[in-house]
Amino acid sequence: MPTYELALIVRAALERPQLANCLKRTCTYILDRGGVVRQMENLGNKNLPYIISSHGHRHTEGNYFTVDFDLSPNQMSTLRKVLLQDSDVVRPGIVHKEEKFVRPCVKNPENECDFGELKNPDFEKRAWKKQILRRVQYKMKASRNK
Amino acid sequence: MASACVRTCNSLKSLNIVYPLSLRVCNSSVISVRWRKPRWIPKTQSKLFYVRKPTPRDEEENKMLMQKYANYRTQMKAIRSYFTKFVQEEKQARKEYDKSVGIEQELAEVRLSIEVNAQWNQESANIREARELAEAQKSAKIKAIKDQKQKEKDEEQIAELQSRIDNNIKFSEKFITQENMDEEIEKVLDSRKDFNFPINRKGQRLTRGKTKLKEDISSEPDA
Repeated sequence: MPTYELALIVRAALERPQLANCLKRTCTYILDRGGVVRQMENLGNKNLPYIISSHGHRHTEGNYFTVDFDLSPNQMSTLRKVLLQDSDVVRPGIVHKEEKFVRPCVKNPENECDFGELKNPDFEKRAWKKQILRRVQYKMKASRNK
Repeated sequence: MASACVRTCNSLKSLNIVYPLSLRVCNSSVISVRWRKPRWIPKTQSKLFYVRKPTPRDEEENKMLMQKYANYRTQMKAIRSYFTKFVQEEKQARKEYDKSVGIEQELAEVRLSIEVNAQWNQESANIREARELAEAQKSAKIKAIKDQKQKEKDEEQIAELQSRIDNNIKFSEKFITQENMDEEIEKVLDSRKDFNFPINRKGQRLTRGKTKLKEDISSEPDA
């Protein structure tokens, strides 16, 4: 079973017992389907980056949780559906979690990168194109003024 | 239609030969004109009782042609009979030859040729076997190297998988189960984590307001 990370945004209006209930519901669902819950993290109450409307409410803030779990890939679609149907959940997001984070520059030492990010391979080409275009436009302007 | 037919047959007309108008004549091949009328339409009234005139022939010419044809036939007959006679004689000679000495001699020749053929086969077989042996040895060497590499790879993979299993077993004590779920959820709700902090190029974490480095984020992501 692969490991996944669930980023769960729960309604900010919920109180502590209701929050606990929501987390318990998702955990029991995963455990019932033969999954394993590795760990949970609480990132606290935060403002949302943009207004999200779900289940007839417009949310501006939410409680952020992450759940690391193992589950069969066949169960993922149903899990996602269940989470979307949950009225307490504002937005669920599931990503596959790598066992060990390896930077792309370490994988292929030819690629130089800062902070594990690859440069755009088209960067030089684009820069060159931009330069040429600017020159052409300048010339056209000059000809027009004549 | 009729005029076209007449135009095409102009050269033939000079020989005083008359062709029916419903036929187009080109280089002595007769092509019927189809699709002009459907089949169920009867003959036209003007052609209903039309009888074709027989082709006029020159008597003298006909006589000469018949004579030439008779000559040709007699000559062909003579040649054909000559050939049949020749073939029969050949057959007879062959039979007599076979009866006297032919078969034994031929059998001896066949035996000799079989021996020579077997010799050639043996030579080519020797060359082939030597080549196949060399190829087999070479492929066996390559296979041994490949197997060795595969074995090393498998061992590496098994060791890695084993280490992963061990890690999981070690970590499994911290897993959240049905029994400890309530406690864990309480703990989670009490705790708070924050990943909003700066790092340097090596991935090391910088504390706020200080130039001193903390440990790697990979080992200690706690706020």
